[in-house]
Amino acid sequence: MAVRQGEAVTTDRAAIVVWIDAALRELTLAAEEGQVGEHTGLLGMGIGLDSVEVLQLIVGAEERFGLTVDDEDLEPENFMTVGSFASFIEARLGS
Amino acid sequence: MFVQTPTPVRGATARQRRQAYDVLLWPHDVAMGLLLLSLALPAWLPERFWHRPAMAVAALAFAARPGVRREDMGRIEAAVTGVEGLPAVAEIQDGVSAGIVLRLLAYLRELRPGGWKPQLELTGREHLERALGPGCGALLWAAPCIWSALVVKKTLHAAGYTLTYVGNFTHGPARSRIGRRTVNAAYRRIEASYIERRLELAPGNQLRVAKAAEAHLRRGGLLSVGQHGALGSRIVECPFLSATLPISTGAPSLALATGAALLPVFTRRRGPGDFEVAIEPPLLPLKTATRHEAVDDLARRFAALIARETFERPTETWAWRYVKAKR
Repeated sequence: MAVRQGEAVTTDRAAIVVWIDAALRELTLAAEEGQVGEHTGLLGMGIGLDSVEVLQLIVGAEERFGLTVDDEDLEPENFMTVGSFASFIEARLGS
Repeated sequence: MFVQTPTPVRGATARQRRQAYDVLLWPHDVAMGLLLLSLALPAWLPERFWHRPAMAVAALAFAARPGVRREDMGRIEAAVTGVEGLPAVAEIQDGVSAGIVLRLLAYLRELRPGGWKPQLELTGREHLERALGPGCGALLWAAPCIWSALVVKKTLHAAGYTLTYVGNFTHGPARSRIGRRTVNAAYRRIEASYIERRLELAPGNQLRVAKAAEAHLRRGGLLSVGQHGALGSRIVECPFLSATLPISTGAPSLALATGAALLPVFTRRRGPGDFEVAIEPPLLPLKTATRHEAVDDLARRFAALIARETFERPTETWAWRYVKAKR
């Protein structure tokens, strides 16, 4: 999870991956804690999310990290694996 | 209209490009063009005279492509092995082929002034009325019936409903780029008369389409999604007679996410120019440990309904095209 320090939000990649793991379990898409890693497949592979489920994850990331994900950002390659999704979140937090 | 041109497949083999519908022109589409020309005159006849030209054209089409007929019959055979009460495989295949040609005739008749005017009955309307309410959308999950694409849209339009339709960029009989821009574009124009909006799935845009579909349902809208083969990010292989049938999870997943009613829809041809569009009671999700279990269960129940329908009307379904032999 993003670690809040006062008003600042610090994130590291590992924390983002931990959040994705928790979000998948909250959406009951993954049954066990620690099931996911950087290379775990998301959209259409690995865990095998469909488009609607990926959108739910994106909404969760928007709420958790204060992001805005526009339609132009909804390119499938951003959500193929946990690693690519984490990179997507990192890039938006950094910009 | 939400329409996107598919991204060309670069570095692909010729077979891969054909499978991705990315070839400029293809012999299949040349044959399709000749088929449509041969049907131009019969399309002007009263519909009760369509059956013989349809059977003749279907037989010619398969005579020209015996490999296709063998493949189709092989799939039907895999599904009906051990199932009693169905016609012979060849009879099913001939009936399906004639049905496909009859449908082409209907599209051609739509191009004529006055269009195609069959008798259309909507049954199960009460399920739809109960589902639609303030902030409550409804998702019509159209089974792979030969006549679904045009008849469901015409019927709902005639009944006063405003429909948004999720289609695939491959929708239509043509597979090449030229064919898609001509024949398939004509199909889309004909169908567009009966719907408010078309959300078109193409490689790379599935998340945007899912988002638009979800928003439409959350606004209380009516959405139609057709079930056609293994298209989608996630597919469930469901028991279907003696084989399996791939069911995409998009429709049940959308319904679960939005709370919209998930209503199976079947299209039945009762005779020349006489159709029924039957809306079934909503498929209600079970409480399961994981979301995927709930979605998979909905997919299996839909496949069971398709199997029932296929058993009762074996020549009116595309489902044979997608079945796979059990391993």
